[in-house]
Amino acid sequence: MTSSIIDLQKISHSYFRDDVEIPVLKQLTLAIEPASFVALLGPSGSGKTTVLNLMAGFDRPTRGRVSINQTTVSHLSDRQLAKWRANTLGFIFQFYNLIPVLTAAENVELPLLLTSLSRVQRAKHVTTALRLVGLGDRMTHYPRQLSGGQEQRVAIARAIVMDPKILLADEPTGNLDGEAADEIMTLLQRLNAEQGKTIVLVTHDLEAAQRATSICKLQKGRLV
Amino acid sequence: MTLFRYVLRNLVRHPLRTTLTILAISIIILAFGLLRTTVTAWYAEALGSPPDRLRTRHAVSISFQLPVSYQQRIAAIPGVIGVSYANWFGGRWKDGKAFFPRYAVEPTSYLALHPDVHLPPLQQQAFLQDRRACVVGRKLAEKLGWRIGDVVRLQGSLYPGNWEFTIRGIYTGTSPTTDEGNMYLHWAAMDERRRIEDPGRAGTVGWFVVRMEKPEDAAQLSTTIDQTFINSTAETRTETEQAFRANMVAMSGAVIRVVEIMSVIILGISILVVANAMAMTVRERRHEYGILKTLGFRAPHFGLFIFGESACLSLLGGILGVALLYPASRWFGTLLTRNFGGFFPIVELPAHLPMLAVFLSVGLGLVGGIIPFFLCLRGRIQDELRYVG
Ligand SMILES: Nc1ncnc2c1ncn2[C@@H]1O[C@H](COP(=O)(O)OP(=O)(O)OP(=O)(O)O)[C@@H](O)[C@H]1O
Ligand SMILES: [Mg+2]
Repeated sequence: MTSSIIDLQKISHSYFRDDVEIPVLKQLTLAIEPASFVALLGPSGSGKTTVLNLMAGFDRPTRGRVSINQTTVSHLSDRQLAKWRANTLGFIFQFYNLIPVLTAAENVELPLLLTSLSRVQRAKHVTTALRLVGLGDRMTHYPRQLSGGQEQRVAIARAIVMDPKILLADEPTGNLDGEAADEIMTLLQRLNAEQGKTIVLVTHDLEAAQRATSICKLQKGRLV
Repeated sequence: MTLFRYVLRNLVRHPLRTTLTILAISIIILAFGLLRTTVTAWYAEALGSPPDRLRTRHAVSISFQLPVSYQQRIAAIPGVIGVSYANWFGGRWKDGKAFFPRYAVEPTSYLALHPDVHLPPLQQQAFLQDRRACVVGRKLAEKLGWRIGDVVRLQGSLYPGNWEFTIRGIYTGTSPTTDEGNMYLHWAAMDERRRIEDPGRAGTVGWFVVRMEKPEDAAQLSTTIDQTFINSTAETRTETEQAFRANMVAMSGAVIRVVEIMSVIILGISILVVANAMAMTVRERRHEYGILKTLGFRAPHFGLFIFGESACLSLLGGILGVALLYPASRWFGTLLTRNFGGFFPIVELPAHLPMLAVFLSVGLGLVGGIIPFFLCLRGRIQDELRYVG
């Protein structure tokens, strides 16, 4: 056993379209230490999202082994996977996709509805998470009443409300202008530094990647 | 915040689509209700007799008459415990628009054989004592605003001339299938006048009502009765009352089957309406479902979301449809009675129908959710997250 929290061992992954194999990842090995902030940098189509999907257990690698937090992801059943994922991983995407008919607080509360927490406890967690992202005063706003940057911060609050050890972020600033993007990156840095979250940031934006503590470059399915 | 709240909020996400879907379902439920009302009214008329009675009519057709003297001969057959007789009176009331069946009966035996036709004792006595009297059903009296003592004037058709009958009683049905829409008058009063005006047809009846000691003997007793009159001037045909009525409306029976089938088909359409709306919804929310899956939501939760929403949609449609059904069935009933009163003397919304329609709408909504639900489950997270719609 290694000390790394994310451990990809000789991962190869291919997509199949009409029986034609499209190899995307080739013999990729990557170990990420707890509480680190790693940027996975690469051009479009290099396989960044694919790596993230494998880490999250959305897909199983064609070959190789993915261990997260000492758990071999491919050994879990779909049901175990869903529960494990909810407790271990937080996701942040380019399209924040808050649910438009729910308020900021209700959006953040969603994952808590699957736990046995009481209403009062849930409200406490929601408030804490929204305060942490600086939106303590926007609890009852609907997504359409928030700016893009604020929406993304609500999505981050939703990702951390279950207090996962790991955050996986796929182009979280892809839809934002410079200033809002900067705020998001600062927030991620803080979550890493103050809360000890392990963060994997996928991006093709060098500037964003430089906010991480280390950068891995991905090109045509290989780390370079 | 609860998971169900999310379901309810989703209902108002596309107000126009939701409204149109609900309206479509309500119209379908309304149509279903009207079709079922028709079917129920028909069956109540065709099958509304207890099985201990037989009807004996002319072997050739109901429009031929039998001699009243057959009564004693039928009564003498072992297993028969009562015989009465009746004629279809026909005639027109006012402009003929308000139709109601009129029967000329031998009142004492007829009432004895039809315990479900209930008259208060004083009214019954008044009816029996007055040959110019008639009794009418409660619903008929309510519909036409008649009271005891009113005089009903009929223009004869089968039995020509002007006829006047004083209402001496208003009967109620003691069983739910008893038709409270009939009028009964004295066969003797009719025959009395026939003897003068139409002697050839005097002393004849349309049919005999025969009460059996043991209903299970129906088949055997029918044969015995008919054999009694074989080779007489008027041969008979004896059937249970259900068979008799069903025969009378055999033609409409086929139509009613079609109506019944239609009422089921139309429910299938409602399933498609819901399935279509929900399939659109699920497709639009693909990305959202992907996000929810990353948060740990699984099949049972999506089941709640999708079946909850489809059932709510359908339920709202069902409730609206039932609300429309009340006035619509009244209007529809009037229309049916006016045009096909012989088959549908009284058309009423069956008491169980509103509840049935509401429950059915929920069921149909759930069925309509099945395909959308599987569309949602089939979606893989990584594809749903890539999908930006
Ligand atoms: N479901 C799929 N079926 C077939 N090919 C796919 C599928 N998903 C991704 N690919 C292919 O795999 C390769 C890597 O895709 P991936 O999404 O991982 O790239 P990426 O680095 O995230 O790109 P971007 O920066 O544009 O998001 C691409 O060439 C893509 O076309
Ligand atoms: Mg990508």
